[in-house]
Amino acid sequence: MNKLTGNLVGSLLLSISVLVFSTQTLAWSMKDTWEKTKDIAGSTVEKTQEAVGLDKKQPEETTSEEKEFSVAEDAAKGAIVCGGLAKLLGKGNGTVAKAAVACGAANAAVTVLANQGKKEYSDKYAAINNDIAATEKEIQALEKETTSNNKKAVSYKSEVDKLVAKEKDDKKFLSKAGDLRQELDGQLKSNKMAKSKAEAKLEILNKQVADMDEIIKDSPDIESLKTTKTALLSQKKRLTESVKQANGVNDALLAQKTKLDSEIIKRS
Amino acid sequence: MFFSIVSKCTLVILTVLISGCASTGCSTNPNELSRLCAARYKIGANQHLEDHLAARQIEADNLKKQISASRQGLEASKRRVSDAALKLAAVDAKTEAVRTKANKIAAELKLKQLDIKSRQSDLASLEQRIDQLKREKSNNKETIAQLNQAKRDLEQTKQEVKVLKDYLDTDLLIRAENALAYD
Repeated sequence: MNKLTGNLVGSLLLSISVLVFSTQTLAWSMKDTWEKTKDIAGSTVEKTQEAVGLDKKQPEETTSEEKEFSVAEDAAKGAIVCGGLAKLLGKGNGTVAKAAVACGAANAAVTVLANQGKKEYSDKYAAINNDIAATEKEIQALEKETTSNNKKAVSYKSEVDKLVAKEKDDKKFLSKAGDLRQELDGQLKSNKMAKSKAEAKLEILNKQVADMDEIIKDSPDIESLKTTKTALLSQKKRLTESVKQANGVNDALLAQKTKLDSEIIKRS
Repeated sequence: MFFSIVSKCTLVILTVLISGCASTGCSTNPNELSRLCAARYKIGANQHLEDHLAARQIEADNLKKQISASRQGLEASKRRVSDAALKLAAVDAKTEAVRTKANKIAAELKLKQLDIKSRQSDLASLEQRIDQLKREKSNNKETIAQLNQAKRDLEQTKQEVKVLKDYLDTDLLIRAENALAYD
């Protein structure tokens, strides 16, 4: 019995030692990583603190409550992570500080809203901020697609004009016109798909802007909320422009198809 | 005494570890799907989420019914255009003028057959998109926005089908019948 108890105690002591040792190792390793990250982010932090005004001495009359929910201070803390991450991910030095300030301020606003017990708004704002970069990539891709569709519409217009004006042989014309009409149909479809993607994204952006209005109405003192709304409005404007251009391309392609059709009927 | 202390410590450590492992991480946010999580940890059935999903399934089924109706309408027009084209092809007109007129109408019928085919392809793509969205069991904003967009695209396609059908019914098919009557 005594031997069994001894073994049990021994095993327990060994387990505890292993547990304590691994926790300590993990803590050391975390500390080491944090120190390295701080070193890498060092210069960015200085720039960021300068940008948000934290390098200057804070006024003494700041109350503890105000300090607790201070966006500027949280912004700098957030910027350490944002700037550090931006550098670790290999982004250019010039934009790191600027991006870090915006990112830090946004993260800080999320924290402030959460600290004020506004969990729903904090969650919504965090989600909107997380989406902005991905939306930007999607908008850039859509703008590229719209520009390409625009160029193709111009090119198809000159092809139709050329075929109608220069091909005198009716049989050859009908054969070429059939192929061109099919191409125009395909292009109309691609253009519709691009427009559809842009409109779906626009719906999401409209909802996000409405959410931001609600959050700003509730916390009008937090500046970074307004910055985020401005960024969303700018994205919305570009997407609206893309949809408008896609509509123009659609009309131009349909006009070419109509022109081709009437010429086909005329020469049949 | 020592054994008792060790046992208590072990109990505390085990309790901490077990509660750590059992921490669900389940989201109670109605916009995130966690039915499996909710069922496993009994943190609520996310009724709000289920209601949204059910409403979307009904919406998707409704859109599919509209697609089916548009498809049937197109199919009927396709048959009528096809019949008229066959009859016109067999025209043995006595005069050149009638023959030329018949040829032009036949050419236009052929173009409209291509347009019908194109609209049928649009409806098929839309149905595919709606089926895919119906399979997605989540309430994320992209899925909802895409379904709303599919609804708008369907409205536009239905409008295009209507314009095409109206033109066929009130103009082209009547002209085709008239051309045949002169044969």
